[in-house]
Amino acid sequence: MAEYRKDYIHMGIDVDNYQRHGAWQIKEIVDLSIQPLEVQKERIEMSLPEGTEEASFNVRLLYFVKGGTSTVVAEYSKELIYQ
Amino acid sequence: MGNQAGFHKWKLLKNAGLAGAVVLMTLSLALPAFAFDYEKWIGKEGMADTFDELLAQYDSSACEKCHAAIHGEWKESFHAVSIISSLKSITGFYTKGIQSEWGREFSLAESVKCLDCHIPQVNTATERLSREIGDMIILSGTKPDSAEGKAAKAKLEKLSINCVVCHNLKANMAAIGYLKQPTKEPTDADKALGITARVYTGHSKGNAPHSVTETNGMKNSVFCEQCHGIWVSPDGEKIQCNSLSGSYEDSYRARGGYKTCQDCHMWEKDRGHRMPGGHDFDGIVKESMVMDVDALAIQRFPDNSSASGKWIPSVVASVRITSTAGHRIPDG
Repeated sequence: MAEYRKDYIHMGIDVDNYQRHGAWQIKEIVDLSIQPLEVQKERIEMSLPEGTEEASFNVRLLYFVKGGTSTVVAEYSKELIYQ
Repeated sequence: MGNQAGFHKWKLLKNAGLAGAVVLMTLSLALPAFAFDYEKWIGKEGMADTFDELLAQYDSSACEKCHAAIHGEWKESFHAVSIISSLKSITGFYTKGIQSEWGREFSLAESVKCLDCHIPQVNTATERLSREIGDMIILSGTKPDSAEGKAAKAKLEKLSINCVVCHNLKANMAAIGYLKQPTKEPTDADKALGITARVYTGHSKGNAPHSVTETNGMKNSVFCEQCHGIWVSPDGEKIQCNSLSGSYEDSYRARGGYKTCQDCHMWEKDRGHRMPGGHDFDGIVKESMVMDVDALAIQRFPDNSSASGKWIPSVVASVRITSTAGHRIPDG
């Protein structure tokens, strides 16, 4: 299975530019999040094994509130046929 | 008194010429004195020295009697569990942060770096009580399964962002100059109703039997931004649990968005005092992002070269995620 993953995060860093989780350590952010009132665009190309005749293409947008707790916000599926 | 001392020093600086540098240094050290004077604000009741006194100062049981539906909404909110939902993080701040990494003693001044938002009531607690609350937090955060830890948590559960915190304590702070003379003290007539603090709201009095001080401040994002954004301690320490307000002001409004926090999190869809946010997966989270995808199956040359005479099955796709939120996703 081929996989492409893009993370949108709001990363806290300390004064030495190390990523941190502690609220007493975070002094700046690196903003790799989805911005308000904007369209975040991604263009993806993925190659499959030679001879593949069919493939299932799935896109899932997941939202993680903290740690491993997440929900699927949106999903897209398409069956691809190669002749 | 602290403000007055600082003001006189500033006047000195304006007139002192060379001596100004020395005075300037003194002025910067005096900055914490500009913090809000809670001791003056709390009035004749004085600062709470026991846990029960603190609960009594912010008792909102009189509110619940008439505003039962709103109280029910609030009970579902994170504001109702503002301290017990964050015990682990705050314990980390107090033990790893303040005591270990910073090498400082725990004190009221240090505790408010978390609690000014999680339980702002601590601002009107004595130094002794603030340490007691800090000990309870650390105990319940480090030993959550022990009998003592559970007992501490059960006690802390009684403190939260309740009616009095928003409709009095924090209502006063967002635009304190605008409100002229904000006060904690309820009127005598309100006291007879069991009300423990002057009621500030964004709405008119209506048919309420108690007095109401209407303030537009509570209807604007600036009210929520007191806690849902970068918080600067009176000693200058910048606490950045989240930075939603910065994203709201500088990204959302910069792009022409003019809804308030209250528009999306309270008034739309009758969300009311539940004020759902990032934990409301099936509600406000899913509403805030729309994904649109196009995908195409293609056969392409390996490395863009036709030399092999082969094609590789591939897919090209475009993904567009439109955010309708009033701030970045995620944040904090």
